[in-house]
Amino acid sequence: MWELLGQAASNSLTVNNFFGSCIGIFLGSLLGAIPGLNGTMAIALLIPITFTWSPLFSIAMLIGCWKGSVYGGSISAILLNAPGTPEAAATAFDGYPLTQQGKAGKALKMALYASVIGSIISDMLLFGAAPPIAALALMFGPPELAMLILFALIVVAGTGSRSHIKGLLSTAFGVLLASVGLDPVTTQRRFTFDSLDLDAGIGLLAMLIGLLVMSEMLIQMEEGWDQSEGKTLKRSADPADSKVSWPELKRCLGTIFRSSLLGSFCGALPGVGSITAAFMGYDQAKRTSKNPEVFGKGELKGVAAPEAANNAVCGAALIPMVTLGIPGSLSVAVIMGAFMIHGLAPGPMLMVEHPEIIYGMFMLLILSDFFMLIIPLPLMKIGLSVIQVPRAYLFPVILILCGIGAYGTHQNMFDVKVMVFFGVLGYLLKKWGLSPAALLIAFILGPMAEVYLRQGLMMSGGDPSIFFTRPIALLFFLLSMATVVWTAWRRRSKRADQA
Amino acid sequence: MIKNPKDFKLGVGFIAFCIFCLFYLIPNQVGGISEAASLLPILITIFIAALSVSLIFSSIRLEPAGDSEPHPVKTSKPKTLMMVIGIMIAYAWLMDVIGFLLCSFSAMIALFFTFGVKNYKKMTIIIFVTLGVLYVTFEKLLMAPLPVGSFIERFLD
Repeated sequence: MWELLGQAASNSLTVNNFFGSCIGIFLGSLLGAIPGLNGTMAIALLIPITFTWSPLFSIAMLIGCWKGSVYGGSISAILLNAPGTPEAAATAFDGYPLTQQGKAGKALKMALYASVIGSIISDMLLFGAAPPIAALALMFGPPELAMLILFALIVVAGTGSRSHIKGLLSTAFGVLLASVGLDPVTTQRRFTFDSLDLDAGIGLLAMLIGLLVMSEMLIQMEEGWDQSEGKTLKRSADPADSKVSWPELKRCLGTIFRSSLLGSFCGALPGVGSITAAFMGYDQAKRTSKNPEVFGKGELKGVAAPEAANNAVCGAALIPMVTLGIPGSLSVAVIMGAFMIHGLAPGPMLMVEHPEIIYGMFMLLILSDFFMLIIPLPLMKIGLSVIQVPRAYLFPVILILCGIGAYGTHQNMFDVKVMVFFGVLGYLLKKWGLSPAALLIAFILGPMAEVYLRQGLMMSGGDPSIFFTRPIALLFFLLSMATVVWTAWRRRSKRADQA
Repeated sequence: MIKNPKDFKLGVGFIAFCIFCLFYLIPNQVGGISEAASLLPILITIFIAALSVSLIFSSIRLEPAGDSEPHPVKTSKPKTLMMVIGIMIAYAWLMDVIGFLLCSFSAMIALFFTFGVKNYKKMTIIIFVTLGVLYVTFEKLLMAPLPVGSFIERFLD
């Protein structure tokens, strides 16, 4: 074992590989920070360049790029309330209020530290516990996954709205919107109004940009800003507001640790992904907090939790790929393609045939976490100067970026129209006290929930008891019901206290 | 006596939406109740209707909480708001016709004027830098073509 580790270390810990990792992280952070470009796109763009390079150098660069893009998404989420990647959407809930309070530097640094800690925990898990976690993930069939997603939906209903009924309404509306397009099982058209553009459903990124960015712009415009004074988002003159102190980090460590474990678990489950992990991480932080009412108003834990969770997905998502040959997410599927291009077939035999590559990759993963502490810093500085620009100059640029970000994913003008539609809808939802965030996450989870629900029903020949008779599925069902009852009871007692 | 008229109206609106979905939209846009593709939309619509009823009941029974309205309606800038929505709608529809560059250029100018920007030099620099960076990123680096516009295409032909 030690001999193997020594060989892997001598192969992987080279200046070339360090360089590859650094370039990957920088490019990933840069592309991740631009709304409309995500980690998967960044990796896909890099793969053709890596054809002729050594496998470890290529893997170091691609994994660095992936990790960088997950963190990069949080830069624009915190500074502009415009998540660069969908998984950074939850970071904006508290990150942007911190920017509005002049504490953008603090929020960015907390996001960075949480990302690195989450990533290290996840990589350690990958290093030490890949086979048992993969075996646990394999115990999840469609009924278990359907109930897990039901649990996640109930949990996210508490996100963003102060009324539980409105949270559930937003969630249900999100699932309904997710059913637009071709039916995932029968490919029958649903709510497409005979438009070919709607066959593939509503574009996620277009919807996300509209709901989170454009609607926020409209809200701020309506509230108005003083042309003489309030033109820029202020930046606090107090140096303490630009850094994270040790007591602040210590206060968030428990949240970061829990979110990292949650993210690792979500990452190990194929198909669940970093978006779900980020929202679940945020919600667990809010639920376990003694002051949940401060969330959404600039709470550091609200930045740390989703960032730790979404970065923890990276390492863990490689577990099913390395051990079983199953890609846990779209980004991993692209990385898996890169493995194959280099003649490495992911799966159980890879550990036997090329252990030096696998252990080398593990080492590079952990090393890239430490590079993550340094490489994105220049981008952070550029970002911080952006918020000094008067809003009258900044808003037109952001609105055009929204349009082009929505267009960029599919190069389809229909997505720009979708973005504008959801921008106005998001504005109205906020006015009505509904939660665009809950709607969004339900929209993401909805198709998965439907597929697993129907696969489960097919397995049982249409008998719904399959969701309540299998132990893991039953556990998640009971957890969901307990969450509903607990949330209702907590809100009722809070109302009684206020009265 | 309704204690929270806003939530009451919202609940009624959602119930009307559910009735529209169940009796018109789902049968016409998805299929009958027996079809597998209708299962989820019907279940969710019924769930929304049930939640709407409970929202109506709670609006009759309970006063709005002090912080239940995160974004109270303010009308300090309704003209700006409507102008921006109008510009964005026109932007989304016109880009197909006049292309990315011309459309984004016009939209940015309109937005700057709506926000009361009077420094034309700064405005011009921002427009050219933004559009230049976007054009180079998409067209040259990512090889992702930006819309040329049907009108411009015809003009070039």
